[in-house]
Amino acid sequence: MSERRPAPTVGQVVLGKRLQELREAARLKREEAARVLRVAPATVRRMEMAEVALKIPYVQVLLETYGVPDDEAAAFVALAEEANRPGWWQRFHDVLPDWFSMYVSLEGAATLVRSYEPHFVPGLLQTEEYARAVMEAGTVGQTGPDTIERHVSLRMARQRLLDRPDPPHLWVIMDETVLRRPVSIRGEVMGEQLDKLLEFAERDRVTLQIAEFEDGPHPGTYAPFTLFRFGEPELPDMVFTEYLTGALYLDSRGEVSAHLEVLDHMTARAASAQRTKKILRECREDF
Amino acid sequence: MTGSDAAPQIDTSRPHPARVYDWWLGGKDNYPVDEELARRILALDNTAVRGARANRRFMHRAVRAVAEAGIRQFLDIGTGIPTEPNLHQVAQGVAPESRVVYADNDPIVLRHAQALLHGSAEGSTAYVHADVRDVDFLLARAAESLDLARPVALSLVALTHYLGDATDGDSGDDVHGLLQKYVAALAPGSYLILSQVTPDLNPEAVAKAAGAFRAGGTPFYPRPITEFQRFFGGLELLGPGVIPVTGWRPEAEDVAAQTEGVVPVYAGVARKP
Repeated sequence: MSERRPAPTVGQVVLGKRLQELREAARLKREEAARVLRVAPATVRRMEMAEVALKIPYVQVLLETYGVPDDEAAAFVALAEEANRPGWWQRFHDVLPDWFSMYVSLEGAATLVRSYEPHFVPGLLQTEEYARAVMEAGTVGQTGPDTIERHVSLRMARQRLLDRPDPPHLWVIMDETVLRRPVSIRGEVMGEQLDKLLEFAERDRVTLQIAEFEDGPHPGTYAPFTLFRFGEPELPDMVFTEYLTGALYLDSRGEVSAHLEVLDHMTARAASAQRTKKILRECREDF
Repeated sequence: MTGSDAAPQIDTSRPHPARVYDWWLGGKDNYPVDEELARRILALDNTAVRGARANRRFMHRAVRAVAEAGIRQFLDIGTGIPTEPNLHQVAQGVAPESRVVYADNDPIVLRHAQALLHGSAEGSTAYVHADVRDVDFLLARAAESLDLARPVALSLVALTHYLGDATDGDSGDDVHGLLQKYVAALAPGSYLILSQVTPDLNPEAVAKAAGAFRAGGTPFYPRPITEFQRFFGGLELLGPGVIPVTGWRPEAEDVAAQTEGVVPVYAGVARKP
């Protein structure tokens, strides 16, 4: 892809998959669909894979070709228009790389977010001061204070998600390291962060577990990762994993399942949610 | 199979019945080995998915029935991966103050239950890591949340077919003896809610499905009606008695499901006098 565009929204991913199903139900090959649109087969593939935005006139012709009834086609087009609309996070485009726009979109559309955090409190649960300290520590090179402040604002804006009437279930396993290595020499930063964790641990839609040192090594020790699950049954779970200069999104059954299995093993071995609250309270007393 | 809370040994290299069941119910908390066995069994016995759904719906109807009869304490053994609506939602839907204890022997299943099953503010929802075979341990843990001197609804939905009886020399289990111990520990006025697979209604397919379960490492014991009825010995069966699962006090959805064909599962609910 030569042209840069914002990362796909989850709506685009769902509709792309649906478009593919409708084509297959009509027993048409991509080449045949492309011929109707007078485009290359790759264009149809990119729409189905959500690599490009859904062009409405193309969608209308395809739905007609696939024999989709008028009312159903109209509903599909309405959803496509909605999915093409940029998300709230676009106003942070100056500090938001594409790979992370996708993350914010997934997070907002998910019904379940399960993650493993070896180093830091997850972004959705950070206090502003903690977030600032992490970003200052993680910044090497030319990043100025203004940019850091923009990142902090974005992170705080993401947290509104958990105050929605229908928030996703957030289920996090944090390594004990997160509690033991302070992000700031100022004790109150960790203290306030622990208060915030304790507060969120009381919520029904938040589950926190600590993987304690005394449990020894566990199968997740490679890197942080997050698994997203969506309300749409046809949409597979998706795994996000980050590295220094970018990120990977995995949605193949084999890769997603390997991450699910690791999360399940870790959740069984880590401290229960109940015990985790006790650990957090004890740790709070140290600050 | 111990009832301890010690660091559990977890083997996810083989299919697990709770995750096979999750796949049949359209869930996503299963791995490729589970999906493979679920598909293989479905190919041998095309009622597997309908059977799984029918068991869930039976649990809903039975729990609602006993809740409406005044039961406010529930002990569910072999809970499985959470699937909405869950037992506590049905029970607390009738009476918000209902207390529910979920018990399962699988540490992963249990953590899923802890993470996803939250009860009403008025009632309580607790989780016990215990095996159905450890009757004393399981009941002792359940008694931390339930008053066993008062009536309890004990449910084992689609569980007893994983347990052998004294004549199945290979399993070492005595399912009839186990159930007698549980029932003996319950207060008068308690209820027993059961469903399990039977060879009576579709012998060939059920025999093949059972063979596939065993080949996957899970013992499986379909039972004829006489054996299933023995579970309710000394108890008063609620109408309509022991019956194919979709026929137990069916609602509109179950009547519709019946037209898709019989599901080889018996169900029954009984009261301890």
